[in-house]
Amino acid sequence: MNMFDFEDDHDNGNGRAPEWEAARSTLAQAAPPDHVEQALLRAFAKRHAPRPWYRRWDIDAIASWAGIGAMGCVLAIVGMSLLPVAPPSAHVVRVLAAADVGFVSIVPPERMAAAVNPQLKQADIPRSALVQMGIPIVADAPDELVHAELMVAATGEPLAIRLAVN
Amino acid sequence: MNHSDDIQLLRALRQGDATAFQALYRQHRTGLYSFALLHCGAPDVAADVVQEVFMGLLSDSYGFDPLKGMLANFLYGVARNLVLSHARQNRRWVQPAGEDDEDDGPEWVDPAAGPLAKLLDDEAVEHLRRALAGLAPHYRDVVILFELHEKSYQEIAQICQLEIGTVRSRLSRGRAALAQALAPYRAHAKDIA
Repeated sequence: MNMFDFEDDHDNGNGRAPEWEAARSTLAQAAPPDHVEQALLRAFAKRHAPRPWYRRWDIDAIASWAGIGAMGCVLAIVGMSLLPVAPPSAHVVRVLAAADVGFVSIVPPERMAAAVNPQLKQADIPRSALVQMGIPIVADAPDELVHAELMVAATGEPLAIRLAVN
Repeated sequence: MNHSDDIQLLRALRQGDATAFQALYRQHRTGLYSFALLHCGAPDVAADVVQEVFMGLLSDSYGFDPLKGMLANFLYGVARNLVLSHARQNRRWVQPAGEDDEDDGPEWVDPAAGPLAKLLDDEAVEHLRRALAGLAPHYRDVVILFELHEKSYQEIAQICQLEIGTVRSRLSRGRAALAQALAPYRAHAKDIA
């Protein structure tokens, strides 16, 4: 006889002992108490409860949206740099010139922009000459010399002037 | 319900479908509860085991892989581990009567075994329960899975994480020990008949 064969003369003809048939019949409808199912469903509902919007953002979503935002910024900057730059209006130029640490432009902006390698020169200039340049100073003493700094182009053309503060 | 149905329900469960979870629970609760009940002999422990099995399934903490086997067998394996774990925590050692097998360790009997008698009023089942309680747990596993749940050797090997040869060996010895334990009851029943 095979050592693993089991001889049980108490089977019911199906190879199963009657005790097992009885157990199968008795336990066929056995189930845990209802509170087990209820507890499980509660746990399920708690686990799958809808989360508030601020908890729906996991780290991956934040990272992906941050990446999209950064890419958008880069594209916007590149796009703006490719746009043609219009020359500033005369009013803007005057304002900018006045704000540029005291220098007042005495040539049109395009000539200022086209000047190559300008240099700064010190000079004493009569008040009358400054008035002729359009500098808004009082000309009650036309021969009085005023110390000024001039931005001069390589050609010797004065581009801008700044009066020294005494 | 077959394996693919279980997988469909499991997928729906993970997507938050409570109906799928309930269907899966109702599909497997009787088998798991019966297994745990006959193994440990205590309805409350068996109910706890079933609840814990499904809690683990709910939280996906067991890491079930559908490619490695059927969900039902996986759940039986989890239930078995939980029952054995509970028995280890609540064991009291007794010396098995008439056991001469070397690998038969001392068995443990759950002290909460009494309430089962209330549930199982059938005399034959009660004798079976007592005889099973006298078996070592590693024999009880394979005998219950084979006899009550009609699992194949292959399935039992998967559930209990054993070689098939070991399953055959344990089943043979377990059934022999069970028949020996049931012999007085059977003789008595024969006399009455």
